Amino acid sequence: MSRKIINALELEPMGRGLVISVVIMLSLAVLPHAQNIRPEIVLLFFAFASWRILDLFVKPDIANRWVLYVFAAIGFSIAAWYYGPPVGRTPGIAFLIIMLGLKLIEIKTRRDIRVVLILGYFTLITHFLFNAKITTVLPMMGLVFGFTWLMIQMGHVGSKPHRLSDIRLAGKMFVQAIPFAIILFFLFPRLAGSVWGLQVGGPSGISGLSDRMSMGSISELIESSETAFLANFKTNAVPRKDERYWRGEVFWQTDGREWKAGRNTNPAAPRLQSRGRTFEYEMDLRSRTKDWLFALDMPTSVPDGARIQDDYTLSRPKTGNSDNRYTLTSSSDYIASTVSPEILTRALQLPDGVSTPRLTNLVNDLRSSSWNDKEYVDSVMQHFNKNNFVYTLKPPLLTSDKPVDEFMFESQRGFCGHYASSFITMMRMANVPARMVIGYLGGEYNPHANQIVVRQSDAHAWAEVWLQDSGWTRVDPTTAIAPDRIENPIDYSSSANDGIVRFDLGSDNLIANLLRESRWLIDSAQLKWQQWFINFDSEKQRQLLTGLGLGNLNLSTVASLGGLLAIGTLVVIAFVLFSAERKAIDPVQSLYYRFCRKMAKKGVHKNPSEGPRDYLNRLIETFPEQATKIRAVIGLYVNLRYGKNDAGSTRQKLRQLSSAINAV
Amino acid sequence: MSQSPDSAVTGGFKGRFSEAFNRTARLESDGTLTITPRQVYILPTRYGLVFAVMLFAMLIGSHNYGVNMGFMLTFLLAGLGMSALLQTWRNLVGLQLRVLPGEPVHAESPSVLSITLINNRRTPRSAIQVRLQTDAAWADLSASGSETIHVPYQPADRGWFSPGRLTCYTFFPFGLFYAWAYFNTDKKYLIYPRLDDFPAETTQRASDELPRGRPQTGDEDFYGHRNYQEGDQPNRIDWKAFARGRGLLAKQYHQEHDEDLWLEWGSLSDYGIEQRLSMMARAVVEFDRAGLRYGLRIPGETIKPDFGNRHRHRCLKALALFLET
Repeated sequence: MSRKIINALELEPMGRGLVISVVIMLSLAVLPHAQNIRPEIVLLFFAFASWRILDLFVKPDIANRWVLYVFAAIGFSIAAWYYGPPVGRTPGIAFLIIMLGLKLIEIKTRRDIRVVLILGYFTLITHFLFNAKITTVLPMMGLVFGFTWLMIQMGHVGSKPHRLSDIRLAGKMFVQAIPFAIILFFLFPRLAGSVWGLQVGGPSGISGLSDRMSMGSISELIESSETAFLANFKTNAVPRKDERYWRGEVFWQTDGREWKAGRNTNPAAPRLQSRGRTFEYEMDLRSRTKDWLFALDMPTSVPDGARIQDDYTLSRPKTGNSDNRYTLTSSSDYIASTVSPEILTRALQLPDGVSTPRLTNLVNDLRSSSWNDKEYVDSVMQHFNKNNFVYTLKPPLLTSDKPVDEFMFESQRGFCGHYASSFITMMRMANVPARMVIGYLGGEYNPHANQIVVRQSDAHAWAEVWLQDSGWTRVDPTTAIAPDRIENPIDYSSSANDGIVRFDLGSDNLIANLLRESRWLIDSAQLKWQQWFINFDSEKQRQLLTGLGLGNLNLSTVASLGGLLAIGTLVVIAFVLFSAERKAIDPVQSLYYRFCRKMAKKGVHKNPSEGPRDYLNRLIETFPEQATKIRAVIGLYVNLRYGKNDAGSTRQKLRQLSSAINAV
Repeated sequence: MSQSPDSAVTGGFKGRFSEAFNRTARLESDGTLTITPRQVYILPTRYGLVFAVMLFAMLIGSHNYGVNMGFMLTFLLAGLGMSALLQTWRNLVGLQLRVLPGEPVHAESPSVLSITLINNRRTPRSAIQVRLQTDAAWADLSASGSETIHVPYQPADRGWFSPGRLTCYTFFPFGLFYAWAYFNTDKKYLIYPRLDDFPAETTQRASDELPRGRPQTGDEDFYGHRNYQEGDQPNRIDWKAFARGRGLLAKQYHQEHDEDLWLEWGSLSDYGIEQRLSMMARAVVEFDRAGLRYGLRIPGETIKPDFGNRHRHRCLKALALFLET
C-alpha cells in the first residue's frame, strides 16, 4: 500500500462544519466532569475549545505552534498546581482533559480529527469511574453515538455531506454492536481482585465495616457494590427479605457522637430460645478485616473455632485466607433473654451533656404518654414517622457538639446510623436499655444457587432494646422513615443529586398510592439495572453460568466460550450481510442470467465471451418468430446496463425486463 | 470471458497460498467487473491499532476500578469496531467497475485511466479509491449511483500499455480498517512515442534538422543531413552544425518539387531507434499543427502523405508500434 496515497487522504483538511461538530461533541463529553474534578480544569478546556472555534472565523491564523506551546505550558501548570503529578484517578483525568483541549486547538486534517475522536471515546469511560447512574449512562451512550456519527462523516472523501445516511449507518452499526457487547459483558471472564496488583482507589477501595461508628460513617460503604459475603443455604428454608438482618458487632458505648463496642471481653453463653424457623447455612466472607463473623439474627450454633459473646456476636481470630468460611444455624424467631445488672448498666450508658432541654422535653413527653417501654418504643418510631424526617444518603454534616440534638431538631436528614444513634440515645434517656447492632441488611437471593449475596452497600445499623416480655428486641428505626429499606438494597446510583428519597407513609389517597406504585416500578427497574449491570461481577457471572448449566467450567473455558460466542455473533452478522449481498449484487445481471438460462433450455447457449448483441442475433436466427420479444429483453438489458438511469426509472425498467423475460 | 491468471493457479500448497493472497475480480463479458465477497481483503489501519490499544486500556481500567459500565462501554466500542470491520468489507463487496477506453497519449506525459464505479445498492458507498501503482483517484458513490474517476499515470514506454493489476481500496466508514480488492482489465492503451525527451542542444539540433513547413531557401525542400563527402558544394554544408562540433554535414534536399513532405527513417541514421521515433513523432505533431500534408516511411510501413487527425493518429500509431509484436 502506498504511503503517499494514504497520506494525501489523511492530511486533507476537514470542513468547518465538521470541526465545529467535533468541538461541540467533545465539549459535551467533558462537561460532566465539572462536578468530579476542579471546575477550573473544565473551564480551561472550554477556553481551548472556544479558541478553536474563534480560529475558524478569524482571518490571520491564530492557532500557530507558539500559541499551542503557550497554552500547553499554562494548561499543564494549572493541572499540576491543583493535582501534582498525573497519578491516580482524578489527576489523570484532569491531565487527560487538558491534553484533549490542546489537541482540539490544532485539529485540521482527517488524521487529527480521527485521533481526537478516538480520545473522545476514551474520555467517556472516565465518567463511569465517578458514577454509574442510569442518568449518566444514557447520555454517554448518546455521545458514543455522536462520536460514531462523526467518525463516519470523516470517512467520506468528497465534499458533499451525507449527514442523514450517516446517522442511519451509525444506527445500523449500533444494532450490530449491541449483541456483541452484551455477550461479552456477561461472558468475558471477570476476575475477582485487580490485575497486576494495581489497586488504584475508586469505588471498590472500601473493605468492610469499621469497629467504630460515628453518625455518617456507613455512607461510604453504602456506595460500594463489592460483595461482602455469600450465604449458601443448605435447605430450601431461606429467610424472608425482612428477616435478613446479618449481625456483625454490637456497640454499647457512645461519647455522644461516636459508637464503639466498649465491651469487657468476658464471653458467656447467651440464653436463646428459638421458636420455630431455623436456617442452616454456610457463610463465605469475601473480605475480612476484623475478627467478627457475621451471622443471621440470631445464631443458634457456634462455628468451629469461634466464640460467642453474651450479646450474640461471633468472632474467630484471623489466621489466614482459609478461615473465611464457616457453617452455622440461625433462628429468625427467638427470645434472647441474656441479661445481667452489668449488661443493663452498659445498655444505659450515656455521656454527660448529650441531652439538651428540648431533647429532654421530647423524651419526657413521649415517655409520659406511654404505658410501658414497648409503647415508648412505638411512640419514638411514630415521632420519626410523623415529623419531617428525611432518609438521605447525603446528609448534612452535624457540626455541633450535640449531634443527636442537632439531628433531631434541625437537620432531620440522615440514614441508618443517624436514626439508630438518636433512637438509642432517646431510649437510654428514658431508662430503656438499648444497644446498637451493626452488620448488613438484605441481600439478593439467587434461587439457582440457593444463595444470598450481600454487598457492602447493604451495610446497616439498627437497635436492640431490652423489653421485659420479649428480651432483647430488634428495632430498626430506619424503617420508620423508609420501610422500603428492608425490602430493597439501597440503590445508591439512583438517588438524585441531593440524595433525598422522600417517603410519605401517612397518606393513602389514590394519587399517593399511584405515585408509590410507580415509584416501586421504577425502583424495581433500577434494582434490575443495579443487579444485572452495575453489580455484575465474578460472583454473578458464576451464578449466571450455573444457571445456564455451565457451573463447573473453569475460567479459561469461560473465556474461550465468550470469545467463540462473540466471534460467532460476528460470523452471523457477516453471513446475514453476505446473503443480502448475493441477493442485491446486481438485479440486472441476475435477470439477464435468468434469460440466458431460459434460452439455454431451448437450445441456444450463450458463449462465455459473447456480448448481448451477438447473442441477440443468434437468438433471432434460431427463433425468428420471437424476434420482437427477444429484442425487447436485450434492449432493456442493454439500456439498464449501459444507459443512464436514475433510481426510479431503474426500478421501473427492471420490472419491465422481468415481465419481458417471462413473456418469451 | 477473460480469466485472471491468478485464478488459474491450481493445486499444491504454494498454489493455494498464492491464490488466497491474489484473488482478483473477474472481468465479465460485458466489460464490467464485480467485486465478490471472497475477493475482499481487510486489515486494520494505524488508527485501528490505536483503537485496539485503547480498548485494552479501558478493559484494564474497568477491571481495576471495578466499573461495570466501563466494561459495557468497552465491549460496546469493541462491537462498533467489529461492525466497522464488516461495514468496510461491505463497502467494496458488490461494487462494479468498468475500465473505460482512453485517448492515446505520448510516453512520459501525464495521463489518466478512467474507471466508472457503479453502485447497485440503495445505500451510499463512500471513499472508494482505485489505485494504479503509486497513483490513485477516489470518489463517494451515492445510493444506486455511479461515478467516473480518473486515475493519473505516466506511461514510460511507447506501444501498448496494459495497466495490469489495479487495486480498489476503501477505509470507509471508520478508518480503523482498510479493505482492498484486486482487479485486472483487458483494456490496452496506445502510447505514442515520447515527444520531449531531448536535451536542450539536441532539441535545437532536431528542429534544425527536421524540415518545418515550406523550405526556406531555394525551391528545393530541405530534407536532412548526410555526412560530408568529397565534392559537396560549400553552400550545401551545414556550417551551424559544424560550429557545434558535429563535423561536416551536408544538407540534403528533396528532389521532388511536389507539396508533400516525407518523413524518412533513413534520414536520421545517426540516432538510436527510440530517439528516431521520438523525433519523427514530434515532426508528425508539428506538421499536423501547421496543417501540412506529410507522409511517413519507416521500415515495414509506408504511409502516403495526407493530413488530419486520423492521418496523424495513423502515423503516430505506426511509430508507437514500430518493431512491437
